[in-house]
Amino acid sequence: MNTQVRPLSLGEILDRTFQFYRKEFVLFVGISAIPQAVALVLRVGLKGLQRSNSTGMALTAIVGVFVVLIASLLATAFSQAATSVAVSEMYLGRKTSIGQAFESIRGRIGTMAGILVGLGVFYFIGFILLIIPGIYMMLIWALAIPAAAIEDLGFAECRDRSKTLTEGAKGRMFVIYVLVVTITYGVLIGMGMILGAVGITTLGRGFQLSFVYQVAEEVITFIGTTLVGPLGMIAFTIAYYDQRVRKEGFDIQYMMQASQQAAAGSGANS
Amino acid sequence: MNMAQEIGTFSIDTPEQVALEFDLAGIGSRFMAVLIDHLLQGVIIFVLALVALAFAVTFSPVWTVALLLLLIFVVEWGYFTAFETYWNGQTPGKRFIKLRVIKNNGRAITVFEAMTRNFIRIIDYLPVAYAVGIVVMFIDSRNRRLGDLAAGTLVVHERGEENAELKLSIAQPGTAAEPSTVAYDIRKLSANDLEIIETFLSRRYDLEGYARNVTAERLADMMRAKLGIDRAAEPNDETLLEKLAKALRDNASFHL
Repeated sequence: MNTQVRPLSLGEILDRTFQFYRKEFVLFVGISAIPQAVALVLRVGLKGLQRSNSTGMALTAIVGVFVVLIASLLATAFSQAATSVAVSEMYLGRKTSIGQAFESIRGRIGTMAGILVGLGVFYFIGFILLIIPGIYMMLIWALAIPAAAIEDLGFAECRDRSKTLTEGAKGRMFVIYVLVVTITYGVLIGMGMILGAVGITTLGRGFQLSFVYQVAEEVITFIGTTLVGPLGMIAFTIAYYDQRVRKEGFDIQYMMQASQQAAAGSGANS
Repeated sequence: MNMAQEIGTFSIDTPEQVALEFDLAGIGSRFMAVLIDHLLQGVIIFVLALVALAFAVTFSPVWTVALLLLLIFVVEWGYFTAFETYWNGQTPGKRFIKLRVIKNNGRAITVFEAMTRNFIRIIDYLPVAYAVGIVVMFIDSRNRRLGDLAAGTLVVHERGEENAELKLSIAQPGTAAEPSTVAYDIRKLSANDLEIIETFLSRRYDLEGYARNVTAERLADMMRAKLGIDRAAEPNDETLLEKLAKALRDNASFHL
């Protein structure tokens, strides 16, 4: 019987996050990289357009900004939802692949993008209102994306679901955010510092304006985002299941289901 | 698979041929411990800075700054070294998260290991937020950072009561099944069934009311179906589960 599904301490949730990531590194990086690569190509193309002096090209560049924004949003929605689904499969002891993860969220990508935008708008307003409301919203809706991806929920439902699940667990959500933000920005800042050092030694002063440097910056950001991006979604999906285990006895329901399936299987064989 | 295997274990054979098994601490739990330690260090440094400010008014500001920098170094490096040496491989953060630093051979670390692993901490920290350390830990199968590799140390989870395999489930007064035998053929139930019932009974008080009732009902119905019991004969779901768990335990036999 699968005993992985049980209440976890916060340390175990965080340990298991890295354990999942390390065990299925190619799966998670692949899920993260494929949509982000499309957005990268568009961003690099936009950089080229923005360097043009002609009026026509400048207009195209303005349109391009919107295209890139939408592409980046869809890429993020695609990779976050697919990561959530992949973690869910792993958590329940099942195998999955990059293709299966994308396939499972294919029809819901618009909804997921809408949820991302909606949450982003709420967080933005919350942070404008002296930060604290923004942080509070981030804590109560920390599990909205996994809930939407796994339970196929809409914008209002996934927020309600997350609010219910995070009740009494906001401290845990906060620590997960701290870990994710620290590692994400640690890696991105570290890579940026290395790129900056290489830029100033090879291209000299004013290296930031060089097209080569700007493209390299986009590529480095892509690599960094692809590598550390999945960690947050892995952690929050494990936390999502952990809250279900704690509040709803998901582990017991899961054990009952497995037992009934085993009984049905042995009945069919006999 | 048990949790120890899930997280990663490290086994040492003693000269007496006794295998000691340790649960290795992962990046997540170590991050939490170091976060607590750095917060404590921040508080200490803040207090020192306030004291230094008061001294700077009456003494030479240059010497005050020099002394403050020295003290900050002592706190940054000495904090981990001192605590790990005198608290047997633990700092306040590690103690809170229930982690401990040990030698590769399972023995307690000495001042030399504590000094070495914490001298190297500065390299693990580079360029920011322990980026080097995280990458090295991610690659290393025993989750060791550079400091651990240099000092020959490991960070492990302490085994507490929460890791005990057997949990007692105490029935509510007045609802517990008194007789050690029940009128049903409990041989129709398996060890898995007992495991599910015991899991429910040990966790039921933590579940929300609705979830507890629904789970109890589903589980009891599942057992009723297996045993061919009519609901009218055993209307109370949790009482039935308590009776079955007790009967299964009382009639259990152990096989090697």
